[in-house]
This record gives sequence, C-alpha cells and structure tokens, in this order.
Amino acid sequence: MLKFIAGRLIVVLSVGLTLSIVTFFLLNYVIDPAQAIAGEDALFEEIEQIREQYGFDRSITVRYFEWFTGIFQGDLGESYYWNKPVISLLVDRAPETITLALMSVSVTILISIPLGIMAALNPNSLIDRMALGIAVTAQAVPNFWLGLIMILIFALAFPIFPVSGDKTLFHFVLPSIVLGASSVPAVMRLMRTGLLDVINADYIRTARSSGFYGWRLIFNHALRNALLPVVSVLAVQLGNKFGGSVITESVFAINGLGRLALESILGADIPTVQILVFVFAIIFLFFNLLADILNAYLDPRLRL
Amino acid sequence: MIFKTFLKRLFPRSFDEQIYNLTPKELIIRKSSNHGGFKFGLFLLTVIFLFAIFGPVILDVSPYEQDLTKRLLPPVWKEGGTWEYIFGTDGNGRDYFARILYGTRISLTIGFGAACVGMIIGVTLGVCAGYFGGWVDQIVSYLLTCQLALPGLLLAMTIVFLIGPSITVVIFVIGATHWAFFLVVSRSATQKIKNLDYVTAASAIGASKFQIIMKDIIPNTVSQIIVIFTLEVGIAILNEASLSFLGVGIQPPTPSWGLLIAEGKEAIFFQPWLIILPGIALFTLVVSINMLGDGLRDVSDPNNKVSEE
Amino acid sequence: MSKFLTIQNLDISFESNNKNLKTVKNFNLNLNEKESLGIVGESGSGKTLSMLALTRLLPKQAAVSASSIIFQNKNLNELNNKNFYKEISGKKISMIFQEPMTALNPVHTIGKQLLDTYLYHNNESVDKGTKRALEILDAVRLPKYKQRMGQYPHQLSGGQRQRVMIALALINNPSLLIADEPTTALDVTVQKEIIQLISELRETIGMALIFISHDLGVVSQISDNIIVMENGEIVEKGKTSKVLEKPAHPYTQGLLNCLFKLEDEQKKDKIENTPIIRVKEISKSYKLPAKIFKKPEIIYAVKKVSFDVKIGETLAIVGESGSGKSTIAKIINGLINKDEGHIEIKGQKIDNINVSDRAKLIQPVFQDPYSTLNPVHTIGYIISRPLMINENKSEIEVRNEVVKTLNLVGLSKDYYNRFPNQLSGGQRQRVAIARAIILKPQILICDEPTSALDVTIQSQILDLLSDLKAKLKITIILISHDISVVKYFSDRIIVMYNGEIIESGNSKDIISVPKNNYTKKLMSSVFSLKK
Repeated sequence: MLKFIAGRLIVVLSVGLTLSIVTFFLLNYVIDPAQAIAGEDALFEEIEQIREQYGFDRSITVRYFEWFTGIFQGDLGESYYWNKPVISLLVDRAPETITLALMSVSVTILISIPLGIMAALNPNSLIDRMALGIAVTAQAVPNFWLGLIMILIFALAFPIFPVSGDKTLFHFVLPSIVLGASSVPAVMRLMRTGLLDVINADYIRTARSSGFYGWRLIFNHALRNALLPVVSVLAVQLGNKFGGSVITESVFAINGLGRLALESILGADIPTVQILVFVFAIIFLFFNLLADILNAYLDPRLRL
Repeated sequence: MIFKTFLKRLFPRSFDEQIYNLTPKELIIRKSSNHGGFKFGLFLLTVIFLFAIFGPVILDVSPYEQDLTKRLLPPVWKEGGTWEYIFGTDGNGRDYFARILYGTRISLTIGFGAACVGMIIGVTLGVCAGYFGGWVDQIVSYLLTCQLALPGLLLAMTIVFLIGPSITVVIFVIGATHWAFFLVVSRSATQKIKNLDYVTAASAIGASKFQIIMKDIIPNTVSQIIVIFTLEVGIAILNEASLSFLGVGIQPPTPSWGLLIAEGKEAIFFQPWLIILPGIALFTLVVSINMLGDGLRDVSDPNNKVSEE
Repeated sequence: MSKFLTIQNLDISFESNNKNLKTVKNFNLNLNEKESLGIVGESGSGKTLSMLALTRLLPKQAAVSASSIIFQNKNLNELNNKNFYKEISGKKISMIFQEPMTALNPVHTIGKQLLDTYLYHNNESVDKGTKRALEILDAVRLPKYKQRMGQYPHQLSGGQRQRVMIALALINNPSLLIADEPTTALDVTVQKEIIQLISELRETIGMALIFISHDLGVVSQISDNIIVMENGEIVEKGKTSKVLEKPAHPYTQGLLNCLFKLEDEQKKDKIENTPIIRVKEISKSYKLPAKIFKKPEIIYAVKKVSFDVKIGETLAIVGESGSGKSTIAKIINGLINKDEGHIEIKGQKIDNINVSDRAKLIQPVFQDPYSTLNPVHTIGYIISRPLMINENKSEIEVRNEVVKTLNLVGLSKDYYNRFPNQLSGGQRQRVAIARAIILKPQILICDEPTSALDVTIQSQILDLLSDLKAKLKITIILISHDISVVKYFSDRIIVMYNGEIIESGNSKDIISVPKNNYTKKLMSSVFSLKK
C-alpha cells in the first residue's frame, strides 16, 4: 500500500514539475509578458522599459528557476495588477472557493446518487426516464446561463436565497447548485450503469440463490461494489470544481480564486495567472491521488 | 437493456450466433431508425444546420446593422413587439433574430472545428499508445495526466486573451484542451482489438503494422469515436460560449451566443429575453447534438441488439 | 405416492421485440429423494432456464407458468416470492454456477459471505456461524481452510473458488443441490476433483442433485437418470445407462455419435520421416510488471523446448491453460519472438524467412469463431487479403481463387459478399480455415480450433480439417486441451506442463500407457461414457 502511494506520488510530483515548466514557458516565452503588460498600443520604448523594470530581459531559464525555487520559500511572486504578493491574494480568496467546491460536490452527491440508484433499480420506469432527462438537460445547459436564470428566478419570483456576493453560507446555495449541476449527469450515469452492472453480476445471482432479496440484497451485496467507481469519480470532480469555479464565481460575484483568475487574465497579470494555473493543477492531481488511494483502500482486489 | 444482457449470458452462443440477414451497415441504419432519441436529435440538428446555412441568405437580415432609434425593442410576443423584429433588438438597435441566426454559424463552426482538432490529436495518440504499448503508452499516459490536470478553461482563457482572440484561435485552443476523452476511448478500444484473433491472423498473412492499424483497428473504433466526437462538439460549443461570455473568446461585434448573453446581462431584470433567447438557442443545439450522440452510442453498442422488424 | 420434487407443464416465454419467444415448453420432472439427475443439452436448449425458473432467479420479463410444482409436499406455486426466498432459496434448494471467477462477491471476504448466508437463514450467534463456516470449508476440502475466512475471492484459484461456492451452497444443509455446469470453466484435472467432491458430498449429506451440463460424458459419471433437452423441450428421459445404450431420439443419437466418433480413431495416413519443422531448445519468458525497489520477476512461458514435426503428420500439443502450448504455436508462426533457441522450417532458420514467405509456409487457425474475422470486412475481402498482400494477381484471378477456396471449405460463392455477423459459428470457422489455406501453406497451426463450438459442429470442422489435410498434403500442429479431439485426430502427442515438455510419443501409446504422473492424471480426467 505504501509502495503504491509512493509510486503515485512520484507521478504526481513529476507531472506537477512538468506543468510548472509548461505554464511558465507558455506564459513567458510564447507570449511576450512585457508586451502583455504594456498593452497592444504601447510604444516600443515603453515595452523595453517594462522589460527592464520587471527583469524580463534576463534569460527565461534563470527566471523559471527563480520563480520555481521561490514557490518553496513561500514567495509566489508579486502581482503587477493588484500590487500585492500573489500569496496574500491566494490566502484571501481561497476560503470562498473551498466553500463553493465542497458545497457544490455535496449538491452533486445529493442529487445524483439517490437518482442513479432509483433509476438502476427501476430500469425503463418513469423515474429512470426522468433521471435520463435530467442528465441530458444538465449536460446541455451552459453553466453561466443557468446561473443567470437562477438569478432571474430567485431575485424576482422567489427571493429566498441571495443572488450575489459571498457574505454568508446562504450566498453559496445558488452558486453551488449551478456548479454542482454540471457534474450531475456524469456521476448519475456512472451510479446507474454501475449498479445495473452489479445487479446483473454473477455474485448477485449467487446471493439471490441463497435467498437474499429486496433492500437487503441491494445494501449488503450490491451497493458497495457499485459505489467503488463513484467514490473515486467524486474525488476527481471535487478537484475539478476549483478550476471550474471561474464562471460561477464571476456570475454570482463571489470573491474567490476563480474570479481572481478571470480578473488577473483581463489585467494581463501573468504572475498571478501562472500561479493559479499551477495551483489548480496541483489541486486536481492531489484529488486524483486521493481517488486512487480511496479506490485501492475500498477495493480489496487493488490492495497490495 | 439488462434483460438483453441477461439473455445473452444465458445463451452466450446462440445470442452471438444470431445470424443476421443484414450487413453491419444495414443493421446500424435499421437500429437507428428505431431509436427515438437518435431520430429526434438528428431531425433537430438538421433543422438547425439548414437554418444556419440558408437562413441568413433567404431572410436577408444583417446582424451588424445598427439603428439607434430602435434600441431594445421587445420580441414580437411581448407588448410593443413587431413582426419586423421577431426577437426584438439589442442595446445598439441591431436585429436580435439576425444576431442569433448568425450565432448558430459560429457555434457550429467552432464546435465541429474544435472537436476535429481534439479528435486528430486524441485518436492519433490513443491508437499509437494502444497498439504499440510499452514506453509509447507510458509517455502518452503521462501526457494525458498533464492534460487532465491543467485547468482547461483557465488556460484557454489565458491563451486566447494573450494571443488575441479570433475564431481560428478559439477553435485550436479549445481543440488542444479537449482530446483526453478521444485518447482514452481510442486507446482502450485499440488495446482490446489488437489482441483479437483477426489482428493476429492479419499479421500471420503478412500484413504490415500500418495496414493493420488502417484496415483492422481504426475501422473497428470508428463507431466509438463518432460517439465521442458528437459529445465533444457539444462540449466545445458550451466552452466557446463560456469563453465569449467571460470576454475572452469571440469579440464584439461578432454575434456569438455567449457574447450576446454577456451583453444582455447588464439588462437582465429589464430585458430578460436578451439572455433567455440565446440561452435557449444554445441549449437546443447542444441537446440535439447530445441526443444524437447518446443515440449513436446505443445503436453502435453490439450488446444492444435492437429489433430487426 | 409423494415425490420429493415434481414439476408439471413448466412453460417459460419471453416477450422480446413484440414477439413471444417460448424458450421452454412443457417441461416435466420427477425427482426422488437423494436421486441424482442429469440434464443434458447444447447451449440454448433451455436446461438452465428451467432450473432458474424453479429457483425463481429469472428476470421479471420472463413469463413462467407451471400447472404444479410440488417440493417436499409443499405446493411452491402457492408460495409468494418473499416466503420462497426466506424458506426455500439457499435453505432447501441451493444452486452453484458455471463461472467461479465471478460468482463470489469480490469486495467481501470468504468468511463474511459464508457467515451472511448462514445467519440469514438461522437465528444463531456469530460464533456458531463461524464454526459452521469452518466446518463446511473443511468438508469441501479447501486447502488451508482456516486462513481462507479472511481472504478475498481474488486470492483463490478457480478450483478453490468453486469449492467455496459449493460450501456457500451447502452451508445450510439443503435437500436439493442444482449444479449448473459447475466444471465447464475449470481445467480438466480440476474438473474431475470437483465432480468427485460433489458426488461424495451428495452421499454424506444425503441430498438430491440436479446436474446440468452440455457434456454427456460428465453427466453419465454422476447421474442416475438423464433428461435430454433440445430447443426448450425434453426429447428423451430415462435411466442413464438405458439412454446411453439405446438412445431413442435422433438428437440424443446425434450427440452420442459425435462423442463415439471422437472416441474412435481416425485412419492415419503414412507419414514421411523427414522433419518439416525442427524446434531446438526454445525459451520465452515474461517479466512481471516491475514493482518499485524490487527485482522484476521472470516467468517462463516456454522453457527449453525441442521437438520435430514430420511432413504430413498431425502433431498434437496438449496441456492445461498456462502450460505454454499456445506460446509455442505463436513462436512457430512468427507472431511473437522467442528469447533463445532456434526453429528451422524446411531447413531454413525462421528468423531468416521473410514475412511473405513465412505466410506462404505456415498459417494459423484460432479458437474463437467470433473474433477470428474482422466484422467490418466482407467474407470475400477477408479471404482474398492474403493474396492481395503476398501475390500479384489480377482482380478476376483473386476472385476465382477465393470462390474455389470457399468451395473447398464447404461454402458456396454466395458467401462472398456477406459479413461475419451473417454467419454461424461453424461457418465462421470455415471462413477462417479458407483464409489460412488460400496461400497453400504447408503447415497449419490450429489452436483449439473446435473448443468454442457445439459438439455436433465440432465433428464437422474436424472432418473438414482431415479432409483438407488429405487433399492439400498439409502438416498440422494441433493445440488442444481436449483429449478426445486429440485422440481422434493426431499421430503424435506432446504433453506440456508449466512450459516444459514432460512426455511425447505416438498418440496411441501416450493415451493407452501414459508414463508421466501428470499425463496419467490428464488422460484419466477424460470422461468417457460410463455404461
């Protein structure tokens, strides 16, 4: 088990390293950062001055090493746009996004798991068709539009939840529903097909031939097998929610990492953007690793 | 469906041995003509395609022509709406119907374009990884992990914004961040197929690796890849809309649906149709594509033996 | 007179595509206490369905009707599902299935599964349940049974899992055990042990047994009475010895004929003494995926194997799965590379023969008729492809050649434009043979060419092969685990075990007087008809 984790950890670290190089070079080499800061209409002299001022005239490898070693000393660079250290921006904004991610995954779980189970237990029934309809709809609705429609409905017709801002947990209800809805189709389909497969498996026939039936059959013999893949997908989805927070946060005016990312991009704030891309990637890798470990722990066939 | 898997397990041979009078192609056509979702999706998508191609020509309306005396006219079914502007006008007095109509072209172009880019990258990598295995597979898996870990939308936003937005850039950036699905599916399909006896038989009769990949492996993965392709078209369309909505995709005055919604956002409580209408257009297009994709998956699934009547 | 179990007029039908599919018609059964009954039939004959109907394991869509099912003086038709599952399933009537690899729940330990089943039907303490579980694991002779309680199914071999399955079925001392092809998925030597175990346990527990199988040989060993089914109907029933001696129904006669034919020996042609293939000390090993900080483990699939194949002979390589017999076939065919040793074909080293020449010398025929043909190509294309790749012929020449070859394997030219999905298993295997012989190779390597087919079709394909062998003067290497096929077909036999040759010689000698212990076990595991 330890070896397994160590092996996965090595992969995660090397992917993280690769990605840090890729993002850094993409944002500093392919694109001229001085030009990006100065804007499109800037004069040549202005650009040159910015280049010198920020040290862009030095070799890119040197700058990469500076940046990368800085990360380990807690120095994530300085934002041009906010005129603040990037780390303090992260610390300020992270709680909102973490709340949003956790709440939206809870929404996903609450909707998709019961629905998936009910659909699998009654294939081709009304509830199955309804679940399929929900999946098809949720898959085709643009996230930002769903957010706007929610704002429209809840601001005008049912003013129960606040539609903008991040002061209380209530403010997070609508954004979580919007963000959570985007993972419902995938998780629900997985739950449904997973449970259907299990119900058709030989070992369920064995259990039935031993006299087990009804809910006892499902809970004692089928559910754990069917939940195995769902658990790991949920962990991955949780990792995805951080990167996916950009749209929801900007629609609902939540001051989280996603909105920070959008504002930094629009402000051509490369130090912040590259750190955010890197951080989101690391978060994703972390939850992926967590999913692998969970799976290995829950599934005896993978235990080493 | 489960009932069929049950029967198949009971009569494994007789079910496989079910001898069809029809060729595989005829079977697929017959199956799809019995699939409601598939037919509905195909019908809807065809209508949208025809609208996108011929609508602007026949109706002779311009999405760019401004008339500041006719700003924010309501659509025809609202009080004050006229048949001249079926969907009303936007804040600059442009015909909203014409803008949505032209937006269809942009969504379709970017959706299919980006899915093609993603397919070329993903299938090439996937088939190579699946067929050659070993270190090729390891490198491709590594690339895959990198691709999955990168926050796609964020990266796309950054690159589009910094390179400068245009339809081509958007197509390539979305395509380049959406090939993982193609890769995973084509790789696992290839791995399965390359161990089948007909591939071994092909190498025993002296077929080269290239011939095997082109004649034996790829033709048998096509149905699965088409399914992913349709689903990715839907995803790419939604992605473009998101980018444009956030202001880092298609730039004004080009009428992208995401952009229309962003522009309408300012007046959300006063002229809600400005965001509702393009949203419905977007939803309808993506639903039709997804229904087509889901239908194709059912139809091409060999376990799903749909009736032959 | 009250019987132990009587079923009268059992009908099963499925509603499929708006057609009413009757799969079992008018099934009747009388079973005495402690009787052993065999139900025989080919796949799809309804033998499993009728028993699943009895144990109520059919899906909802199946319409089951029976005028009466009386079990131990209880009318089962009057019992609702809930009471049936609580009182009968797993308690009075138990069932074991074909697939030991998937029949146990992979996420629960053996102990938990046994205990669950025991406590569900018996209001006892966990201690007592554990005691009973250990007792029954001992009774099914699971090696090291005490440690197995905490283990998961994937840690056990196929045979061991089947023992656990039997333990699970017997833990509540049922009075009827239904065994549905319990040995089909197992290696032959293990098969014999499981059959013996079931028949011994039947004696000690004193239960009745219904044994379902497609294999007349196996059934004749274990059952007092036999029911033969075809297309959902019982075509013959009676005492085992009587049915085997004087089969009344043509279907039974056919089944028996195929078996007897396999028991006979074929007339053998004269064989020249010059070898066409010389295999010298070839080895092939695989590295297990390396774990970190650990040396990769090496497994030999084939270890220093040498033999000759003479022109015109049929050499059989026998052994269980994993013995390395298929690896040898692939090495000779040039489909995988060997690590050491060398192979000469007609005096030429195999490494020096180019792909095209090799294709014209030697061709394979595979086991599974469903994966041997590429589903996207037509039969005509599949058969003509070897010509198009290796020979420079005009389209018309190729077409004529293909039609000729189709005729040779017993198919008409109408098949030219068909696709594999339009053919039956036997026909597909004929197409695969056509593809193999169109280049007129001198050697055919047949890897279990008939083991995926029904018995009646098996003998047709074997006849076709021996016919072609005579017509085209081909040397055949036959890979098989089925001793009866080997006996029928081969001149010489090589017995393999764990990648090594442990015995070789004339087929007559090896079958009648095997020397090696393993060979003895292998030969004795063949179920000949017991009369």
